[in-house]
Amino acid sequence: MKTLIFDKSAKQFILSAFDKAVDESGFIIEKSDPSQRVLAQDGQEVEEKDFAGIKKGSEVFIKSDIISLIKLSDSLK
Amino acid sequence: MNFLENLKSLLRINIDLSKLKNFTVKLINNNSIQGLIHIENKTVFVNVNAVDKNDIPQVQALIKKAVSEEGLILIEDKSKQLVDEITIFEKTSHSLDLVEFFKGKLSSVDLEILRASLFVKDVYDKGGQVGDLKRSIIIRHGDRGRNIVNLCTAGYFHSIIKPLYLEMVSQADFTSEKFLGTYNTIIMNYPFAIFVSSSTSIASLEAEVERKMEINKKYGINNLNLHGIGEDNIEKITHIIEKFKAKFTHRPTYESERRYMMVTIWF
Repeated sequence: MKTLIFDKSAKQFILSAFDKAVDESGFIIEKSDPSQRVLAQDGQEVEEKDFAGIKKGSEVFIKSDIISLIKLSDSLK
Repeated sequence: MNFLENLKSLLRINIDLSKLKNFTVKLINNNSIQGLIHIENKTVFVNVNAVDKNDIPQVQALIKKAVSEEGLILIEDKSKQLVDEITIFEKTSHSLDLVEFFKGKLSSVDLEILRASLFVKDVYDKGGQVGDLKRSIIIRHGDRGRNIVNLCTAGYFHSIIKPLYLEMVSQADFTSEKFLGTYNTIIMNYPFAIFVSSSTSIASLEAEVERKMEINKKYGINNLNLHGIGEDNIEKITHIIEKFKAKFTHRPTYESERRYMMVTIWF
């Protein structure tokens, strides 16, 4: 798996790189449209604490729960 | 050019990249570390805190480009570790045989939960902490997720549910609906087991034991398994044994390790 890893401390820097911010409820939002929350591949909104990364394909947001990570491992086979 | 090459070019960093092939690149944001780059244990740490504020937009653009054009997956270190562990587990264990067995027999959602639960079981069996893993399944799939992960980690998919299917399918009047009806009863009620958790009060545990004993007796089942992980939950089970001992027809049978107990009570 070709990866670029980040630790928790760099999360905000990375979200900013993708023009994202975090709303007062802790959800990741589009900087240009704060009413629009980012969705993960499962169609669910992504909280900053559950944000695990981004992969190609219209910026697919990855969540950190085990089921999302199993699906990620499948997509890398 | 790849991310590091682009970064080196942008920020005019003096670093010999030829020696860094197959190194992991890790982004950190640490104001107590001096310097933009440091290398340790085959990892190139890029400290974004050390980037001049005028260069930040361009560095961020390089990160975006690494994802969109190089196809790199940008992933937090803990999640990457978990993905690697999941990949190794699924390649080296036969646990997925159980998932294969139930393909086409259970819903895709239940298969997804079962697959995750088998990994959780492996972590638990090896002495690892499973609280967060279980919690993430429960947050996603609620009570059904909780029940499947509990039944799976306690081995019931192997010991009861699979044999149940094999028995039912051998009957002439078998239908998948019949199996699923019984299966769903097990998942939502698991009449043969109680999983004691930190949120289980003594009063509710007593009530549940009483209730399941009554239900099981109606169906001719004369035993019930109590599962508990951790000292507090083991104490709760011990309390139950003492409380209900007058109703037992046999001495309870125990299976326990340092931090886990399963007791079978007979009534």
